[in-house]
Amino acid sequence: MNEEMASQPEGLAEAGRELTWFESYLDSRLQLLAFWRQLAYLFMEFWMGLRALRGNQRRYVRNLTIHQIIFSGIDAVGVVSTVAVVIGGVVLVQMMAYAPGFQGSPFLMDIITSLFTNEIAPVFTALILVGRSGSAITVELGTMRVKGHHEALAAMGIDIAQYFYVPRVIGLTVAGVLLNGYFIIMTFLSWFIISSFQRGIDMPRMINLFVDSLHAGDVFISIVKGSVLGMTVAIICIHQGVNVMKSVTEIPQRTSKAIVTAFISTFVINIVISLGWYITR
Amino acid sequence: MIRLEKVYFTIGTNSFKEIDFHLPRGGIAVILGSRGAGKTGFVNVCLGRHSVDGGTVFLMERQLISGEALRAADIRRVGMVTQQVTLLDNLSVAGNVGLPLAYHLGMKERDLRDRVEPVLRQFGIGKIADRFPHQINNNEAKLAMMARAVIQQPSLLILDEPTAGDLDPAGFLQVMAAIKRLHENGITMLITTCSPSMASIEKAGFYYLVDHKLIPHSDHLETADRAAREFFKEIRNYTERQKREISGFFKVLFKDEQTEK
Repeated sequence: MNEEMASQPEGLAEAGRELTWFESYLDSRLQLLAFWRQLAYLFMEFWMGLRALRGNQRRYVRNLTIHQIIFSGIDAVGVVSTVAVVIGGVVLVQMMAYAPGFQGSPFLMDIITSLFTNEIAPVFTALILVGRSGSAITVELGTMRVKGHHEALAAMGIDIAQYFYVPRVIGLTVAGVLLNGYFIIMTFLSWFIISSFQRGIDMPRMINLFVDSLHAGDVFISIVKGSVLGMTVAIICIHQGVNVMKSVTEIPQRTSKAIVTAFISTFVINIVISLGWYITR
Repeated sequence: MIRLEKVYFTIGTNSFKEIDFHLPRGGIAVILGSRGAGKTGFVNVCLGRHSVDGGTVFLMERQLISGEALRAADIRRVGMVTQQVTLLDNLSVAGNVGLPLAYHLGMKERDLRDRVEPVLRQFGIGKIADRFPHQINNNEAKLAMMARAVIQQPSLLILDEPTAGDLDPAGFLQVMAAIKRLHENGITMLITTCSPSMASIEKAGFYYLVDHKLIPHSDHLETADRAAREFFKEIRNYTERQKREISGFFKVLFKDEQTEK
């Protein structure tokens, strides 16, 4: 484990004297910068580990990655289905109450489709990944660190980045994209099912409008968000896990920190990508 | 295999000065020292994981340069058993022991099994191959770690406190028997311990790590005698059941040796 990465972000508080409000503010900004620098460093380690994979190791790491995709993606289908159906249902009921003719309006269908594919699905998928897989990653890596597994693996010549980072980062990135697509499908499927019980809704027309309102750009941005958010969640949670030093009591603290940071990062990154997309298109 | 010449290094606030040490190929060295004496730090210096302030360190006839990571090929020639039980919880005992082979050589399940099972049997833990770390006791876990360390047939085996943890007397004897067998097979070994009982290892070079110095100890008999006394004093406090277990283990060990002859 690299010592630099394991260390905490340093700031002005290390000086050992009372800080003025401005210095405190500056200190918090510096710590934030140091935190993002550490995440970038971890990403570099992941990337170098991925590139250094050779024949046999590649096969082994591929198996680990498949397990991670199954755990983070396939096993999360139930939770994602429930959330997608509930959110889709709530929005549909609201639309039927406040805009009764929405299923016949291309303009409203455009808005709803964009909202779900570009914003709601990626964000909720990422939040589910944080709660389900991200927390598990932090606890697992933190426990392994306390138990000395990192050192034992290194002593066997096993690259920590290849063994820990690569499967988790790729696994969550792929799971992010897959679950995102699944979330969108489940939402619209629930719409069609609920709508079929409602009189006066022209189903074939609604399906046509939905297909027309789904642009290639929406699909593209949805995939980008799913992968970027999945990767961010993985990196943040791995970072907190491997920074557990020697005490078991650190694990819950780090896990809670990982979840909060990943939640905030999800919203911030989502906004940044959306802004970038709407400005440039 | 390992040579330290006038090495200076610092661990925390402790400075170690003028450390000379030589472990020849096929040899066995036991570093005795109390807890916190710097034994693990010394091992890390020998492996180039801890930088030195002065002097030269040779590992497998190659001079180590401070801060330079060992080559992957060199790492694989060194087997290491750490103080803590570091078996991965999501793998069975066989999976743990075969992990280096699966990772480095990409061995498939069946080939791995063929390679791992004889090693497990050699360490007397063949029956627990399919159990997971939470289903085995400390004795078995320690032996599994030793099996994992030698599965790649290393030239050098480092045992950091092999009898530390909650080993019972039977476990202690099993570990000692395993060390003896490995040494007979020609593996060079560096053992650190705070247990004087380890001094009963034959043909070993003994060193005391005290007051930040490494002092060679030539009087093996005296050390072994003290170790034996410590061991039997310890045994007096065990229950009848534990004594029966030890006696049973001796019988098995004796039977094994007779069969081998």
